[in-house]
Amino acid sequence: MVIRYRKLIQGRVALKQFLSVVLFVFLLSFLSQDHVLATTSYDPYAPVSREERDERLSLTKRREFIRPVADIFALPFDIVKLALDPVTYEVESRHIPRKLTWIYDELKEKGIKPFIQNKGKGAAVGLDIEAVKLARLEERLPGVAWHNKVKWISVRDQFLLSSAPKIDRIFDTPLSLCAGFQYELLGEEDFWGIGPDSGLGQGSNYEQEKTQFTLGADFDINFVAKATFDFGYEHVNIAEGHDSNETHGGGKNNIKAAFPTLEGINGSDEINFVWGLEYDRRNNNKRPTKGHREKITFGYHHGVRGSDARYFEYLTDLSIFVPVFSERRVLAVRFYGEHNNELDSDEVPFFNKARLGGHQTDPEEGLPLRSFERNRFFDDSVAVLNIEYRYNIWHYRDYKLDAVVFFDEGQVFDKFSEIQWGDFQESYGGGFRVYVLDRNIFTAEIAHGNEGTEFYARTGTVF
Amino acid sequence: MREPVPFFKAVLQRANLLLAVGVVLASVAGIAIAQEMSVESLPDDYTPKERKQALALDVYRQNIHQEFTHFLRKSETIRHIKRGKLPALDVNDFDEVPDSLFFTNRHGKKKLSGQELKAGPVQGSSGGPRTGEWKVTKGKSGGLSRGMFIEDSGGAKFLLKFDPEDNPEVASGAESVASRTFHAVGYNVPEYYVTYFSRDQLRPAPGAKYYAKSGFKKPLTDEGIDEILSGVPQTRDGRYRASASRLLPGEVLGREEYDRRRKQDPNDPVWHRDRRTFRALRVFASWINYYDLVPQNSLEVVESVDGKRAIRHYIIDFGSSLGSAGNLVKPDMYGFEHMLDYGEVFKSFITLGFYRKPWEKRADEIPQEIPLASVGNFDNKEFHPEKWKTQLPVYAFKELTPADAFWAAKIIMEFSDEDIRTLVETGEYTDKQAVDYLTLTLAERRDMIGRYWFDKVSPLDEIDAAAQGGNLSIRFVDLSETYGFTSAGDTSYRYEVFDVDSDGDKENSLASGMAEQSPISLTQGQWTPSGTNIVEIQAKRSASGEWLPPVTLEISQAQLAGIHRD
Repeated sequence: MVIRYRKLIQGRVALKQFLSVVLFVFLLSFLSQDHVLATTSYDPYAPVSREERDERLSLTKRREFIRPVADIFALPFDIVKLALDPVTYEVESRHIPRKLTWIYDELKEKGIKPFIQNKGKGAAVGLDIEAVKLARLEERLPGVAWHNKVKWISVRDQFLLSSAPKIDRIFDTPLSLCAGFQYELLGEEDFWGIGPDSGLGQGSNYEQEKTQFTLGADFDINFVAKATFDFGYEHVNIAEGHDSNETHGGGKNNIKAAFPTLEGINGSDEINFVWGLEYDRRNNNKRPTKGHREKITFGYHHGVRGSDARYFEYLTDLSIFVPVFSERRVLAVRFYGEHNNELDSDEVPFFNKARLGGHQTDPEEGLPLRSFERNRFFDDSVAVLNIEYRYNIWHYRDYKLDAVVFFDEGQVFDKFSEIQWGDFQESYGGGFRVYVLDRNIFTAEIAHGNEGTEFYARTGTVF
Repeated sequence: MREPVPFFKAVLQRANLLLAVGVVLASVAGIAIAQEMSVESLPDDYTPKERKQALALDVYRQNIHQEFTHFLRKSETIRHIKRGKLPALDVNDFDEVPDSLFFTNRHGKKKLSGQELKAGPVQGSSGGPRTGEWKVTKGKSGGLSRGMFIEDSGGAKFLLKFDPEDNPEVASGAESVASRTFHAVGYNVPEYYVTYFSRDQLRPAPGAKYYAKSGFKKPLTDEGIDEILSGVPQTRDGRYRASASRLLPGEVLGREEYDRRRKQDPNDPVWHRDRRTFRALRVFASWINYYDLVPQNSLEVVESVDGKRAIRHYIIDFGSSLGSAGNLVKPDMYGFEHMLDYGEVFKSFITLGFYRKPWEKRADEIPQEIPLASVGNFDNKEFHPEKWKTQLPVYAFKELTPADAFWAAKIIMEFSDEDIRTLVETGEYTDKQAVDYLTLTLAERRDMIGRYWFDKVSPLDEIDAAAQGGNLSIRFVDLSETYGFTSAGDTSYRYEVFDVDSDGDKENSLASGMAEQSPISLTQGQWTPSGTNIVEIQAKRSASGEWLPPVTLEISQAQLAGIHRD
């Protein structure tokens, strides 16, 4: 019993020792985690602050009073911010962009596509109504689309009305058929005469009213090659421009008075047959970074209802896109050549001649030579080379900003034998292009040449 | 009869006990001081103004207005010309940040246990949404990721956010990991949980509304819930996975102002741009790749703190951390450029696109397909601790000084590989490779941050001074050596001792010398035991051969009274 008690006592002493050591070790380990407290004689996290810092704090408070005066130059921008803040907030919190996108998508789904664009003739608004979708006949008429477009352009009341039914890949064959009607009031255009030497001082203007009926067939040779055939009738009326000085007191000449013998000055009626071949190996048709595209067209135009128009049209449009060590930098080169060869003593109406000058995105409206006014040069033929170095400078999610440096070189001429080195006109310049999902939504470019400098704010690119 | 205890044994016992008691008392006292946080109540007549939250607001304010008006502000220009970057004003005399309603020293001060790291801000028995029926009270309307607000079967309210369709787990995992990391660092964050639920659990609450895909507000029906859930990835057993964040109790005031303060708040005396806790967010964000760290993702909440009405400051919404961008995998440029980064755009423009941005280099080198869907787009290729950027420029981040960054890097370096793994595991990734990969990447990035910022100041820590017999011993730890960024013996130190003038500025040099290691010993005559001395210590690595900016110590009455880093 005594032995047991001794053992117990000894055990308790040992237990005490053990517990104290455990406690010590535990506390040491506990504090060793809190290593800074354990290794310094002071509490580094204590909220102690010297006078100097307190002084700075009071200085901060004083600054708050003088800041509005010191920031006086930023005040106008601050006022704009004050005004924009609630607007920005409301736009986001009420999901306005989402609502607009939804409305647009819903309308498009139902066959009604509103659009806004600026492709060089002024800001345009319009509606593209797809009749098959609108009538909900998509399932019963697979591959059939019938686009009806109405477009109004703010400048000089330009107006377009078109209707174009199309049947895609008939019976699953590569053949597609289309028809079309288009009425277009082209608004006022300037005209300086025919040939590469027309002077700016000879400026006149005119308005054009065009009605077209077409029937066409496309044949997809493969995924990248396509053959086209179009048959059409075109009726064109020419009127003096609003800016003509004779009747309206404007600053320019009446085209009919200034150029009374101009081919097609009283308009024209013609039928035309146009064949085309297109080979497109671009990686992206909206913002290509590599690949090439070739298009050749041959057409025959024949005047009817007393028109003297009768000519062949040869056209080639070649473009190539070469990445410069990376697809973020692209050298884009395009050559466009057109020759209208009148038959015998017949003529090519001036409005169907090759045109050069401006910032057109569609060759049918003329060819780009960006430091010159829109369609500055007219003649039977044209050769133009557009060289662009495009490079991406910003990319955020689906948004891209490209910068571009370009050089345009071109001339109009009557016959190939009349091409002269001195008649070539140059433009050079640069700009920026904004893309959303690779679709260009805004282009700002400035171009300089020997007739001055032009600035463009547009949607779309020249090629 | 009790056996006599040997003398030394008795001494040992008592010494152990005394030491233990002493240490307990000291530590308790120390912790008590350290944890002391004086909170003042908001004035009774002050109704804090609510700040609106919208990304578009932030983009306009931060990325357009601020950037373009900065140079017009004379106050900013003068500030920069005269003084350069101001030292942070929310630090104490020892160059640390005391606890406040903005920040609480946690892992940097005392290593949190694995359990504490996992728990994050979770206190007591609270946890994720309880099983059972959940009432959907409204749809999530702000931000880019889809989500909904719910009330669980216990009445607790949560915001659920979902993963992108092609990358299950990427956003919910990132949110859990990043929020706990930020909490461990010291910031206030809401509770985030990875949670699973089945469609059957969800019921629309009476009167609930949501913004449909059309952007129009509609009453929330079962169809509405289906619409919100459409495209949300499901698990093999048909359940949905979400990040659930518990709604903060208290009066929510909206976004934080990262520049200015609330003047009427007595607990907010320092402009936020001058707060180290705001400036250093940039460093912490760079670690976890928290690109979306914008004012919109912060919250001020009026809470009762120690019975007083006070505003606590939270960081929220971590869904665009690690390799996630919330509603999609992180695009390549995230972390490398602001949304509108004028400097980078200008560089590209002026060099005709031949300036290869770091993210472009990275994108050209890495495979286009993301190997681990739940990790997303996250690695350390081309990562640069100082050049890493948030989605929007934030003025406070531009004010970051090397001292601020050192402080942040020091905290980050406290996270061991094991700590990081513990945090990553809270992401509940089903693919164990994802856990390994993220742990490795975060550990590597941690070291990159430490190595970089420890090279911008003399990275001396745990500095202390002790006087003995007229001599002064200054000891310190070189964190670059501690973490193996430089080996012992590769560094030399130089010091210079000054006395001070009546304004407390350094005046005459009393002594200078070199040392190979800690401690530095000052003998009699080299310092003023009864007065104040300034001691500057600089480190030099043999590899670079350059002296790093000094750490300045204030020794007053033979005790360390202050630490300052340039």
